[in-house]
Amino acid sequence: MIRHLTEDQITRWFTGQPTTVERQHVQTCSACAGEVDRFGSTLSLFQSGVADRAERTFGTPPSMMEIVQTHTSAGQVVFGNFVEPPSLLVSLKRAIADVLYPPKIETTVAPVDVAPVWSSRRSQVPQAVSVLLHAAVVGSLLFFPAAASTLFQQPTLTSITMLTPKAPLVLPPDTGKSSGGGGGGMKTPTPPSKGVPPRGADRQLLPPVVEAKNLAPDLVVEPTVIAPQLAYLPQFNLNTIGDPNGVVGPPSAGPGSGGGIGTGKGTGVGDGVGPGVGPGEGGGTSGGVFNYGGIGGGLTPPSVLAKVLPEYSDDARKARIQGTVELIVIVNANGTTTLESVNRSLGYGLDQKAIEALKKWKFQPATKDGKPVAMRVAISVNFSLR
Amino acid sequence: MKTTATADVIPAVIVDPVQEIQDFDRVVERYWARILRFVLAAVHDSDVAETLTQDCFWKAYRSRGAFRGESSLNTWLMRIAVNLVRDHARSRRFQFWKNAKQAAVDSDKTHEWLPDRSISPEQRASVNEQVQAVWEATENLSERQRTVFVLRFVEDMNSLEIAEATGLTENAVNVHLFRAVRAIRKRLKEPL
Repeated sequence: MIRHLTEDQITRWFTGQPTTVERQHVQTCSACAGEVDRFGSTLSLFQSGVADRAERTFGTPPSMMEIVQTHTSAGQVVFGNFVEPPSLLVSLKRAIADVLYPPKIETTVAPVDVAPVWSSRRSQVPQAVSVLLHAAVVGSLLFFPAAASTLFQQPTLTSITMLTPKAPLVLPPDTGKSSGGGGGGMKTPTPPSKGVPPRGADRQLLPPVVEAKNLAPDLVVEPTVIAPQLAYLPQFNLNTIGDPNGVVGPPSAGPGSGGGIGTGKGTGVGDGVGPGVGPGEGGGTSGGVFNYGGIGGGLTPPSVLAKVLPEYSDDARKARIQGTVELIVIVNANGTTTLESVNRSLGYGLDQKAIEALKKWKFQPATKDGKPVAMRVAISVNFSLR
Repeated sequence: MKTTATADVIPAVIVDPVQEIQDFDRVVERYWARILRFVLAAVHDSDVAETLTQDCFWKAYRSRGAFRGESSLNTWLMRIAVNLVRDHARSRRFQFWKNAKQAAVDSDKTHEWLPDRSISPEQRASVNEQVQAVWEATENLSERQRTVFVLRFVEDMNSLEIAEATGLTENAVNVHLFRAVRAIRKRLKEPL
């Protein structure tokens, strides 16, 4: 038994002298049999490939009836369709002659004049129209860059988020009109005493009092003012209920009227009129501005009626600035807006563009019990280049 | 082509080669494609192959009277062709002014190697590749090795017939054949 066939043994297989041992091995060894088969099929493919090539290259053989020893004028023997190749000397002579005197090729085709197609211009109108149109478009883009900017690079306003501003609420002595505030007093000769306004609530069961008259009541009722966000009211760390703008002193309900605390009228706290806190009328806190987030109790948020997309500033476009500007605005009761602060700034004039656009917005104001009231909202304006 | 008979068939039909050569028209009809095929595989140039085949039959025609029927007509014609191929290989060295391989059978015309047109394109590509590889491998053989290889594997002649056709001894034919196959196998195993 031999191991696998060597290269020489396989070669000998194909040249016709394999030994008996090799024959037996190929019959039993699949690897060697495969090798032999592969090369054998390659050889037979080669055979049929050459035969096919030869047949298709030369077609049918010439008829030997044409074999007559005719000599052409050049002294060649015509054999079938073929011409005997010239002898060595003749072909060398011809090669030299071809180099020295290249054969001239006689042309039988004369050039023909053709009417010019492109050189003559027929009408100049299309060209002029085209130039004018292009000039108009390019000129309009050059002279009205704003149009171009809105045409090509319009920032997308992806979101307007109204959220609770973080700014603390102070009680400025606002003399202007407001929809909130309250006041009160017991018509005492002393000014209202300094203290903490009571908790805000939607309904007032008991006006704030500076001194508990009944020290052991059967039903404890907490004195309240009508305001949604008392958490933002300034804390003075005083146990007593009083007017935040009051004076430190003995408990006093103030010179106002109505049963509250302060110099105003009504059941509230402060110098206003009504059940709220601070100047103004009605419920709520000073300045009359509700904060977004304290929704409920008859309070509805404002909504946008019409908005104008802000333009991109040139600087920001060049610097390819993208991002969000967040503005704290007060949506007034008449639907206009008043900018309070810029909560998040982008710079490059984008803040200013956002404010300009915001001025053109129309709001449905917030309402309290059906009446429009001012509300503080945060509006984020998203700038992005497309 | 009908006339492409193999070496095994022809002697069975034709008994007397001397009789056979009398009808030279039929001889050409019967053997033209074979001689052409051999010469083409031996010289790799279709123009030269045409010329040499024509010369082969021309010589056979002129000396048909000298043919004594000692070998088969196929072997006799093949011997003329082998000699012509050898002469051509020699003379080509001196005919430098002739454009070499004007009608060379380019191996990149692989789409023309179509042994069987009923196979799938993938198979055909694979077959073409194999045929082309062997075709290229034969180019690097010596003239004598190539002649022996082609006679054996294209013309299906045995060692004795090849020895007659080439004028070599049978042993020499076997040695050349062995070397040719070994060289081709080595060549085929090389990465392209």
